[in-house]
Amino acid sequence: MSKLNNSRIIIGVVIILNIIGLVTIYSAGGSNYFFRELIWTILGIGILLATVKIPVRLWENFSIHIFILTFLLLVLVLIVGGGPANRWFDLGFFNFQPSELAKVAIILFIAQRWAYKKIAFNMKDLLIPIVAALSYALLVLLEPDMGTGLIFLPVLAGMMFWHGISMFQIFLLFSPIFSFIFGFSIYLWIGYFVGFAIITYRKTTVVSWLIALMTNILAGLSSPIIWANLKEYQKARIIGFLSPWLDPKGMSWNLIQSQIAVGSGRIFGKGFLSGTQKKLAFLPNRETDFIFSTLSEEFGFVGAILTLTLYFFLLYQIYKIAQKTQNEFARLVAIGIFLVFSYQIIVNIGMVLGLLPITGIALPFLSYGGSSLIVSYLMIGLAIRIYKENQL
Amino acid sequence: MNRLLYRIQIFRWIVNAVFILLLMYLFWIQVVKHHYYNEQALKQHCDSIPLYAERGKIFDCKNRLLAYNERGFSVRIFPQYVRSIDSVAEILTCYKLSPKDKLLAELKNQKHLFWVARFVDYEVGTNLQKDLMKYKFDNSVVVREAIKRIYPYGPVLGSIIGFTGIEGGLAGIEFSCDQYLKGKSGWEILQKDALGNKYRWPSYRICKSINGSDVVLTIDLDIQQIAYQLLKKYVDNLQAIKGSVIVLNCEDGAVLALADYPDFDPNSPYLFPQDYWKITAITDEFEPGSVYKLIICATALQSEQMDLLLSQKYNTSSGYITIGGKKIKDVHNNGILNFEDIFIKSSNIGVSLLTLQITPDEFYQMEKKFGFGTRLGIELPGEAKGFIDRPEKLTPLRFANNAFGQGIRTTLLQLASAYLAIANDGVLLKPYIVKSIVNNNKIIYYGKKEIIRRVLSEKQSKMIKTILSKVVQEGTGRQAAIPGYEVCGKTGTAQKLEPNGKYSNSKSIMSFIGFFPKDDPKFLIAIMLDEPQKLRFAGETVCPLFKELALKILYLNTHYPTNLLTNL
Repeated sequence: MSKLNNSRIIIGVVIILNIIGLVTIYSAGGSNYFFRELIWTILGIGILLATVKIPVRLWENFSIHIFILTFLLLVLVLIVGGGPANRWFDLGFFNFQPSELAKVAIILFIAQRWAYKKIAFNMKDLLIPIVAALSYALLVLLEPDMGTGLIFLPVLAGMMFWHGISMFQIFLLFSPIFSFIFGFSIYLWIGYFVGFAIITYRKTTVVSWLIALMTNILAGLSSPIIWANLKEYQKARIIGFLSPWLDPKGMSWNLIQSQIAVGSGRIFGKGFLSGTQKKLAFLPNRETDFIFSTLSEEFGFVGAILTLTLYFFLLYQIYKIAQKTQNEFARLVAIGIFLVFSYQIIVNIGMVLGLLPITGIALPFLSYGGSSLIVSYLMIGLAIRIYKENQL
Repeated sequence: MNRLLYRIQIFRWIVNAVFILLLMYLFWIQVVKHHYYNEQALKQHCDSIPLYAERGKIFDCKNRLLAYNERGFSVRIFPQYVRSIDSVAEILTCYKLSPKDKLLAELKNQKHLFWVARFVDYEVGTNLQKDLMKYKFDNSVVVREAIKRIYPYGPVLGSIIGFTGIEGGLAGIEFSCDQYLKGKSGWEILQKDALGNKYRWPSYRICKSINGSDVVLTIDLDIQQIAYQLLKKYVDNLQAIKGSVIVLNCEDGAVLALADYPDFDPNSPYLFPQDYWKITAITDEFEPGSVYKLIICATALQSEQMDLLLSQKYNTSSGYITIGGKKIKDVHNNGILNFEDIFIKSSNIGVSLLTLQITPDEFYQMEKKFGFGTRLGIELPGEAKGFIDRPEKLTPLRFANNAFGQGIRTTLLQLASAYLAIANDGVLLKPYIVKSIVNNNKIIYYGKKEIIRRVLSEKQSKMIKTILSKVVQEGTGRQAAIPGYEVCGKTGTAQKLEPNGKYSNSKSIMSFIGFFPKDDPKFLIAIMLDEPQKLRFAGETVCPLFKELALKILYLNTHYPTNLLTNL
């Protein structure tokens, strides 16, 4: 019985979350948004039920095809894409966002690469997923979609960690990124680089040590060069992103307004449809990225806690699936799904509460948006299928 | 695999920790600090706007509008936001708000906000507003609703009604009744969105404004207009510095008219010297002269030696009397007078002889009884107290001087109310000008006859009335006589003090106070003219004015037999 319950619980939790989302979208965006989201919900549930029927094996076999197809779509959307940034294909009734699909594609791809290579990694096994994730990240960042673009590397790192790759190796592999970030300040970079060289010296072969040093130098050098070649508004955007409080009417406007919305919701909220922050247009993106502040304003601490608990419960269920699965591919896919959901939930709510910088990422099942909702349902379906196969 | 197991746990704990952190932070924001955030929210989406109360109107006793409000607009410019000086000037000159050259110069030179027009008519303002919106000048040229106080009768009631400034009434009734007229402004909280649009929101608090109350005056506009026109005519003809007229209703002390000249127009008070704003009849003190002989007359009638004083003869044939080393003279040699004749002929010697037999204290008490030296308390601002000497200061000379109206100071209103006491059989009334105050069709104040005190007995005041009627019949006030009516009155020609302390021979204040008909007085008229140039005596200057005014009032009130009127 309990076996059956597990999948039902997940579906139940997801549907409750989706209903909370629909209610909040109705309040934040009106009936137009509500009905469109409702159609996508029905579509999403259909996809979930269909995914549950597809054997995991099939996903594994087609993972490379999916990866390449998604890659092509990501390139294509940059060329023919519509919307404010080149983020989606306008299919008439539906705006399809390939970057959402990319989240699934990268998980499947990495899982497929590593499924039968426990511990004994060579450089190729590590580099191919990194290049794959980096290429996805770059393509999405070019759209530009900062929020989704930043998800690939953390998911990759998490999957590496989960799969048993040593912390040192992970650090070594990600070091050029740190170098790139530190490269904006020459003193910081020198400090980082010297530390990096000393720490890594003894632990690797001379060749890989030198390769690591070289890539770090290159990455560190590239940041001031890229910076120097950026246009003024692009620089301003990056500064605004890194330190929102410098620009009170820009980035931090959203942050402050979101905090006010959440805080003024108090314990029981202002009531359905009565959020003043939301209604009077102080809240930005109130039916998409900032839906959680609309929710917190209208339903208060109680509503926010209920939602958080449901998310926690959902993540816990997926985590348990990942933990108990024997099949290594399925195991990696499950933890990938866990990582994607965790990242999105934590980064979105952290942003809404003003703890993290604003990057613009959807809150699964709550934020308005068809692609995000359908892909979320697809991932849940995949997780349930993994669970079911593992039980058989 | 142990290492992997621990790694598997780490995933869980990281997510656990982050969720607990998020929860705690939510608790911090939504429960612990909710006051702060709620306040922030309220601050940015609530806006309180004032709701102005409409100022009350002012009516005369027959409900004719004396002051009301007109809605219109004010126009001002923020020159720093003006994109095109020429087109703004073009639009504004189209509406004839300002000459184009002046406007262009102002637009070029002014750096800060300035007013183009404080008040333009409602229609002009709305059209201008539309035009400015159309050409998108509405951020630099601001057209705002404004309210203007209108006084349809202008200078006729200038000093009584006064005028208002931004913060309320500044003079006259507008000032003294400001607390009733102004009402109470309210406020309303509106919801404001991120773009600054404002919305009404039913559950938001509102404090409605309370419109000001209307003030109804006892002034009768017809009489006021006549009094004003006549006063203006006489002051101009006689080349006097100034003049005042008060018309009182004898029955209850209500002020029917109160005119001052020189006048000012309350619609544009700042075009006139500030000195013209005051209500001269109650704010200006002067030495009354012979009209003040009423007091010594009343004192004599009330003294213990009354019988003696009434029966004895007063020899004024020497032409002067020496008191305290100073000569007191009469204008004419009046020979031997009896008591009544002293007042009928207005003999200073006679009055001086009377003072020798009366104690200063009796005189002082009588002055006080009549209300001299104190304010009467009429509902108008700036009432003067006047000045009387204390009895211990009254040397025989000074006493004699005071008795015929020198060395003391009174206002015209004080004199008028003293005579009103005689008209009212010895009862001093408080003159009043506010008939009622009406708020929302509800009378919240009702002015009524108010007795201050009894000054004389009925018999005594009847005797004085007889004397006063004889003044008009056969004495100094003959020119004030009205055929068919018994008029009681007294003239006064007071020499003015020169700066050197001596009484001037040429400058004088002339006054006449009279009431009629004698047996059942209806109207009391007090007139004062300051320094009429052409004629020397009150009988020649003020009395004709009295007569003309009285006749017109009688005609208005149809008290006067028309057949007599046509004979004039």
